[in-house]
Amino acid sequence: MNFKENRPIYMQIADRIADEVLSGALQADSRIPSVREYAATVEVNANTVVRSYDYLQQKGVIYNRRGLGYFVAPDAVKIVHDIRREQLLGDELKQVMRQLASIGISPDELKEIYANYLKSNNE
Amino acid sequence: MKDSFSISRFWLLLRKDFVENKTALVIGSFALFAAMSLLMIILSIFIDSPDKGGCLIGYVLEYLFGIGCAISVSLSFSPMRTKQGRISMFTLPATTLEKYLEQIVVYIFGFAAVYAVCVELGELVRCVIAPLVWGKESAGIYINHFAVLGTIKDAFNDIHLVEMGITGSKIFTICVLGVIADLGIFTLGAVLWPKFSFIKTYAATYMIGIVFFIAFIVVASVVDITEPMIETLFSELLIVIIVLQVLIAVAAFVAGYYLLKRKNVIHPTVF
Amino acid sequence: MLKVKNLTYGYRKSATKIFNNFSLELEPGRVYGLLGRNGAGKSTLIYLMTGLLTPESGDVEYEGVDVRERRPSTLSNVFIVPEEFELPAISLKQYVAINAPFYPNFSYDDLRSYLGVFEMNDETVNLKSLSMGQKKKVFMSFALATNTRLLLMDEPTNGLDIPSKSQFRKIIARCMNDDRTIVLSTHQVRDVDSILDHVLIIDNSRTLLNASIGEIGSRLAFEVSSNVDGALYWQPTINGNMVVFPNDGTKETMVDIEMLFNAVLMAPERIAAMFAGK
Repeated sequence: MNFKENRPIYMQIADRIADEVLSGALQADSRIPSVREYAATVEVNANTVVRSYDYLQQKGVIYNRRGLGYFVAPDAVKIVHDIRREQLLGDELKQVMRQLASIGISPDELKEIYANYLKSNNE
Repeated sequence: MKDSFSISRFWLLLRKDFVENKTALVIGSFALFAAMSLLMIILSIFIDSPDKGGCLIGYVLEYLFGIGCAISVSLSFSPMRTKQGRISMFTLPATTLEKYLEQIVVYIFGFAAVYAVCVELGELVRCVIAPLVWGKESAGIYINHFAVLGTIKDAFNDIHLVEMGITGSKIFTICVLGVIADLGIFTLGAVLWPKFSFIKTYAATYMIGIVFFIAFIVVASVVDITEPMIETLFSELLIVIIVLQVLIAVAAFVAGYYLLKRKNVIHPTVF
Repeated sequence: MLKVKNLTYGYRKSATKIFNNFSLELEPGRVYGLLGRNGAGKSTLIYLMTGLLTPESGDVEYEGVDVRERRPSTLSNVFIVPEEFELPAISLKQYVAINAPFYPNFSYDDLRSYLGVFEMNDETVNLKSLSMGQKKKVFMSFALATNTRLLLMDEPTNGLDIPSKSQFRKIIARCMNDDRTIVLSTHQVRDVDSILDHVLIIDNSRTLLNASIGEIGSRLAFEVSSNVDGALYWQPTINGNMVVFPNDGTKETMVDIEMLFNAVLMAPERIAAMFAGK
């Protein structure tokens, strides 16, 4: 999913949490670690984690209950899905398309490659 | 945390000092006790009775107390010898005055207390061993060395001198104040030169003493001093000396404190 | 919290000052990285900030009080872990018993928690018998447990093995709160970069950079790229060129503090220009 491990740390942390939501490791309405706990676990400045949590909260992936902590939103999976879709079809795909275009690969060629890939992955 | 003098914090400083240095203190005290016992046993050869020769040990011990105390004071402020020691000493949350007084209490009063105990224990050891060593029973009679202190005053009383106004108590006072002024100077030296403090302080006072001596000679040769003059001036001179000693003692201790306040962790000292 | 005001200081013998009219303000709730080459004056700055050295001019104030006065009210809120230190030949338990009372916010629970992370739980151990790394871990645990508002550490990861460095980062990340400030002075940038809030780089008697991670992220971009046009600084690596570009504002990349450090040392004016409009 990431073509560059170059994104700011707070985004990488947000991505990790989003991954866990998608995979089901984090269930809807379950509590995620506090800012400090998470910061200690990944050895990162707490303010960075605050940024990650703010970002996820803004997108609706998590919500905050005063005094209780942060929880996974009920529709988090769908939201993460949508975000990922948007990301992938946005800048990331543009990057790939730029490279494909520079080599001169046609849309039909691409379609075939993609179809074959899906087929072999389903077996 | 209050910034004024705190007895409880002072006590914490004392406790810290004792716990951290207990081995050195125990060994030092024991060494002092052993040396003192040995000395007292050796001197017992002069003892025929508590009055004859008995005072001798007391006088020697009292004289050595002055030197011993100066050496002890020179060992104070030991954390100041290393950079790490200075860092921990200066950042410890206590006032500089508390830190300063704590060292003085330990290395002067603490030393005095240990010295007194060693005198007493040493006397008990002496009573047992001296007669065996020197083969005379009179050497084993218990002597109260602290009582000897009181007799020094009388020992100094000399009729000829008393006529000039030089009483034993004045001379005694000068001796005591001399020790105190000395301790003040060596405390200042301990803060000024944490390493090799005793030697440096001794050398410094020696050189100052020489300067004064030369000055005195110069004055004496310029001003025509006759013996009768000396005799009339003597008792006034003693008062002057006493006042000077008090001033030197106070100045030295106060200077030591202010110097400690100003000390840095890295000091570009000259010597 | 701590204000360094127009500080000037130099070693007696030399004419060049290490700090010339230097000013800095430390705010609560931040982890500051004081970075610089060896001999750049990091330790000197720490000593100046804690009242251990007297500035030639200017002063340093903790909550409005000159640190040079060495008042207990200041000292009980400031703790310094020097690069090298000696511990007395007593047990850890005794050490804590005689030193903790000087720090009113000392917490035994915190101490045990940090010792636990560092795996140095034995309180009966004689401090003189510890290896350098173990001594550091014990002393740092004590330092953190004093809960002073300002904590300064000089080369904290020096002498720590890799697992211990990780434990150290975890502890720093966990112990921070809005009221506390930690200053980590080091030349081992990689050991601490992930836990920093604010970067302070000094070299040759100058501050080369004084900026928060957020500011750096918004003004600079760090990329692997074959294209170095317009780069402020770049260096070849296995993956290609590691490049520092000015950030045109369209993206936000990871802040690679080690790259930043090298860039600042090599091209100080160019980097400084990026932060000029503050």
